[in-house]
This record gives sequence, C-alpha cells and structure tokens, in this order.
Amino acid sequence: MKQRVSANQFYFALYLSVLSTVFMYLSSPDIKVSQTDSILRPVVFCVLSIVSVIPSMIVVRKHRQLKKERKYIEKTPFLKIIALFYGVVFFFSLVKTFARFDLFVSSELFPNADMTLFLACIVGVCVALSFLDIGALGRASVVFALVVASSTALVMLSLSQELDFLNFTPLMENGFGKFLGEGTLFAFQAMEIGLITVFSTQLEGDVEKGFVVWSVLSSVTFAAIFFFVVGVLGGFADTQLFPTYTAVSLASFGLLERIDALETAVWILCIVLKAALFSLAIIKSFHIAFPKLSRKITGTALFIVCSVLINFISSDIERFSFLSSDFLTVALFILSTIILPVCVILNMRRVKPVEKLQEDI
Amino acid sequence: MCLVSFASCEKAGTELSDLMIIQGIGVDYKDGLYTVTVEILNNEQSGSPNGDSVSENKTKIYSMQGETVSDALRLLTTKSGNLPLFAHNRVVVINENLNEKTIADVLEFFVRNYDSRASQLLCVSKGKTAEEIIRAKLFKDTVKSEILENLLTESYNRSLVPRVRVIDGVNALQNKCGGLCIPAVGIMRNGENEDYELLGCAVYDENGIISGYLSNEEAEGMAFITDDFREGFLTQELYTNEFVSIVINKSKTKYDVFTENGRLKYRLTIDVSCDLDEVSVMEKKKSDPEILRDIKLSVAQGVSQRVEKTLDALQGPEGADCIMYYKLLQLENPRLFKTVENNWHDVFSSAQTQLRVNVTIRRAGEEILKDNETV
Repeated sequence: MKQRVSANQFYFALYLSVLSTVFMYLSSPDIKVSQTDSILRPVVFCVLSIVSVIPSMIVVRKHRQLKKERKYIEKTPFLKIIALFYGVVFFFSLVKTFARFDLFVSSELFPNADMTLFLACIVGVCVALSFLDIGALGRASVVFALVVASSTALVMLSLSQELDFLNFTPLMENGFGKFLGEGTLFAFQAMEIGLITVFSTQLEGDVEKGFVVWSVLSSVTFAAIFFFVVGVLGGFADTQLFPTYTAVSLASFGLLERIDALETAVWILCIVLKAALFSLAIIKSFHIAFPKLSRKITGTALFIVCSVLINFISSDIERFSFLSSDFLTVALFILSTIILPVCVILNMRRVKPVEKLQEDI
Repeated sequence: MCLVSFASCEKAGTELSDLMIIQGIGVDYKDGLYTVTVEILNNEQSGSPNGDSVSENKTKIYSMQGETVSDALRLLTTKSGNLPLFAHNRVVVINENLNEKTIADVLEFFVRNYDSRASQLLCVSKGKTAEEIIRAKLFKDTVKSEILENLLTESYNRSLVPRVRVIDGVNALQNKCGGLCIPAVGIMRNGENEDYELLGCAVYDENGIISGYLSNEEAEGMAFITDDFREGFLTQELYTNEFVSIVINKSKTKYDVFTENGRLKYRLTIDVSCDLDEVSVMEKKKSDPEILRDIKLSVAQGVSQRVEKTLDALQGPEGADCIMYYKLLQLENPRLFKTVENNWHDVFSSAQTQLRVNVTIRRAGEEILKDNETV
C-alpha cells in the first residue's frame, strides 16, 4: 500500500532539501558570491523553477485524470527505461549531495579525521530513513521546517549588527546577460523539482498552488541568506569555500558565542532529509525498472555502492570537482525536470482499465 | 547532530591538555624566514586541582621560525608537544617591517586554515617586533593576548581606531583601490613592568605595503567618515579657558558623491547626538539658550577638525584610501568609477570633501534646556 502525502507536507520536505543547497553553497571562481547580484539570482530561480515544473505538473494532472477514469498506466519497457534513467539521475544527485556534505564536514568540522566510517553511517541513516516512505518524511519535514526557520531567524538577527552596506556592489555590474547566466546556473542546482514526477501518484491537494508558494518562499529565503552573506562578508565571501558557513560563524547572541554549532546541526538535518528523499526516489525508480528486485535489496545495494563511491570521491578534490561541474549540474537538472517528465507524458498514452490492474506503478 | 557540530569536536578524541590553545599570534619576517610567536594557555596550570593558587604562569610563550606562517606554526608542536588549536585565537600581531612581504602574504594562512576564525583581530607592532609585543612583561600574570584584545576592542568601542579583523583586512586589500588602516600598538614602561599602548594606525596601501602612520589624533576621524561610530568623547574650549566635555553617543554619516568642474567631490553630512558631561562655564550662563548654541557650534567644529585631520593624513603622500571613498563612488556612479579605477590613488588624493555637521544635544544632565535646534 503506497503512502499518501499532502502537497503541503511534500513541499516542506522540498523546501528543506533545497535550503541545504544554499547552506552548503560552494564558492566558484566564475560566479562571485560577494556581488549584490547574488541576492537577485533567486528571482531567476523562481521564474525558471515555475517554467521547468510544467512537464511534472502535466504528469500529476494526467495521473489524477486517469484515477478518475479508473485507468492505470501500462508498465511498458519504455517506462522501465525512463525509471532506470530516473534512478541513475537521482543517484548522481545523491552522490553529489553526500560529496558536498563530506567536503563540508571534512573541512569545517573534522579537518583531520578519517571520514570513512562517518560517511558510511550517514549514508546508512539516510537510506534507512527512506524506508519510512514519503508520508512520514513529509510529516517530519513540517516539524523540521519550524526548527530550521527559527534557528535561521536567530542567526540573521544576530548577524544584522555585522552588516556593512559598503560590502554591497552595484547591481548587474557585469551586464544583464552574465547575471542571467549565473542565475540560471544557480537555479539548476534545485534538482528537487524532478522529484515531483516520481511522487506524482502519492501527492494529494493543490500541487500547482503549493509549488508556486514553495518556489516563492524558497527564493525569498535564498535572497535573505545571500543578503546576509554579502552584507556581512563582502569580498571575503569569494575567498571562502563555504561562504554561508563563514558568515554564520561570525554570529553570536549574548552568551551564545558559537551559534554556528546550532545552525550546523540544523543544516545536517536538511542534508539528511534531502538524501533520504533522493534515496527513496532511487529505490522507487529501480523498483519500477526491475520489479523483481525488492526494495530492501535495492536499499542495501544503494547503501553499499553509495558508501564506497563517496569514500572514493572523498579522497581526491579533483573527483569532487568533476561531480560539481556545471555540465553535470545542468545535465542532471534538464534530464530530471524536462526530458524524463516529457517521456513519462508520452508513455501515458498506454493505459488500461483499472480492472486489469495487477500492480500499481 | 548538535554534538557533531560542536567546535571543540574539531580535534575529536584529543584531550584539552593535549591541545595548544592559542590566544595570540605574533608574526615577524626577516632574512627569508617567518618568526611566529604564540601565547598559549598553560593547560597544566589551568587544569590543576589547586587552580589559581599555583605559582605557574597562566600562559606559555613559544617562538618558531619557518618558510611560511603555516610552517612555523606547525613546527611549534616540536617545542610544546601539543597540537595547535587556532579556533580560540584572539589577536594577530604583525610586525610593521615585513621587508619584501605584504600583509596579504601573512593573512593567507589565516584565511585558508579551516580552524582559524575570520573574526580574529589584527594589529601592527610599532617600534617593537611582534615577538616583543607577545612577550611583553605586563604588570601581572595574565593572558596578554586578552589584554591586547581588550585594548583593541575598547579603542574601537570609543571610536578611536577602526576594528580590523582578518575579514576586514582581506576585504580592504581585495580591491586594487582600497587601503587598510590597522591599529598600531607599542609597549611603554610602567615602573618595573610594561604596558601596551595604542599608537594610532598603520596605513597600508593598495598593495598591502605599509605607507605611513596615523597618529591617535589623526585616526579619531575615521569612525565619522566610515559611519562606524560607536561612542566617543570630545572636549572643546567654549570660551577662553572655559571648556565643555561631551559624550557623543550616536553619529550617522550620509554621503553624496558628485563631480564639479571635472573634480571628484564628496559631501559628508554627519548627524551627531551627544550628552553634556561637564560644562565649566559660569553658573549663571548655563540656562541661557545662547550657551547651548555655542556648545553645538563648538562640537561641530571639534568633529569637523577630527575629520579634516584624518582626511589630510590619508590624502597625503603617505596615505591610502582606507575610508572606502572608492566604494562610495563605485556604488553611486559605477561608470565614473570604471574610468578612474586605474588611477585611483591620484584621484583619491585630489578628491575634495565638503563637510556638514549637525549636532543635537540629547541630554544635559540635571539642567533643563529649552533649545534643541540644529546648528
């Protein structure tokens, strides 16, 4: 029996997941974080996410229409291939998430420690959490979101005294074209949008409205975070591997001198949730592609492969550079949010009456 | 998850007594070698059951030489036997004479190292080496770096010198137009002991090389110009041999950048709010609205003089743009800034500043004042 999740709870999970991208935002030599443009880049994210979600929304609508007509989608080989591709795309996203987390932990928290066991534990926890299914993750996300919002607000409040308006730069100093390009690249990091198609049969409520709210809320949160990063750090942000973390490490509130410890714990929460969501999507996709494989076997295999791969990447910064390359980011985003959902829509013509249903998708 | 993120876990599995908890770092450079001097907490003394009653010092001091700052700091382990922990470092003292090295070379380690915090304070040793500053024989057994940190922090809180952290140093030197003013400290004799003393600011040019100094008086105007004023004191001669002392509790500076006859001009409007601390004039005059007007005028003159002194020093041959004039122009008129960016040093030196100071007396102690107008 598949778990159902309300659209609102699902979007809370996506919100936390996408927030982790900004919390662990990596500086790049090509895109300067210290520019005031960083605060406006989320606008591009907002527009692009709403445009790119259209195929996924068509999938959700078609599913609902088929449900009303008491029909189901036939499991054609084409659908299995699509599911396989989804699994691979999300696997790369998961590895990328873990690799970024590994870089953060091994840089900021345990610079001299051997990360092998720690990484394996984190992967194990995330895969295990994915077995709770989307309903439980969605409900937990609502509680987590409150914790994240309150701790982030506290950090912002304490950082407000460190703001220096001379740290800001003229808007679109390098032209609108460059700004648009940087904004688009930033938006492509939101791999979460592709999850909507995978969980489309389990979503209840107003998915379209919820997405617009998610997109706007995420953009506003990103803009607020970047406002503080730019205002507090200025050009120093470009010298730091994790500029958001560096900005947070300057925050103190009364006797609480190290608020970054609290905020880091919250970020780990977001990362774990994001990884659990992607793990669940991978298991679900591979289950469609290979129906004979049980979810437990898929989950165990995912844990082993992921742990080995992360430890392999962890030992060499050049491997990480490939994983976080712009090419891979763009390719994964376009595949998961546009190409694969369009393929799903094409496959939706192959339907059968529900009376012949043997196994739900 | 909280436990994972606690800072002390950075050295997981290491006892506190096995850590070299660094409080202050002094960096000198001579003959191709860095000499790094650190003050570390004496863990054996702090952790002993007798606590403060033991006679051992609270801190230990080590020096080590190396090809780089990192090299020298890491080699310290061979002397102390402990692992260095930079996360609690309070202050970095940099020798005024770095020979062929720039301040950016010294800061590189503190920017790149994971453990090192961006909020460490910077200061320059004037007339002494950084090692001598760290090894100063202060009046009692204490953490010297803490005293130095307090001196720098309080001087900043009283708007005498700017606060310069690692982050500020990097930000100022990143742009090829900006200079940097770092508080300078020296040592003075106090009986048999020594004390730290503030000796104005060292001025670094856009290449990170020291170009001159601001005296304490010349440095006082910086907080007004950069709109980073915290609190300050001012004593002005109101009439002949009659003085007024005021506490400036708030100052807000507004900027306007424009060109006139092809010359770059800055208009600074400084709104100052102050309390009267002492008015040593004849008693019968105190309630007179005219005296209030005179006080405001006098305060405005005092603030103007401070700002003008700072501007004169920074725009002089040994100065640099430590007051972010380039940034103001960049924000106000990016196109114009791009045309003068490559020649900024000359443009800055010849830039004119129009000053307007508005003074408000917020409180006058026990006196009731009728007038609160702006001069």
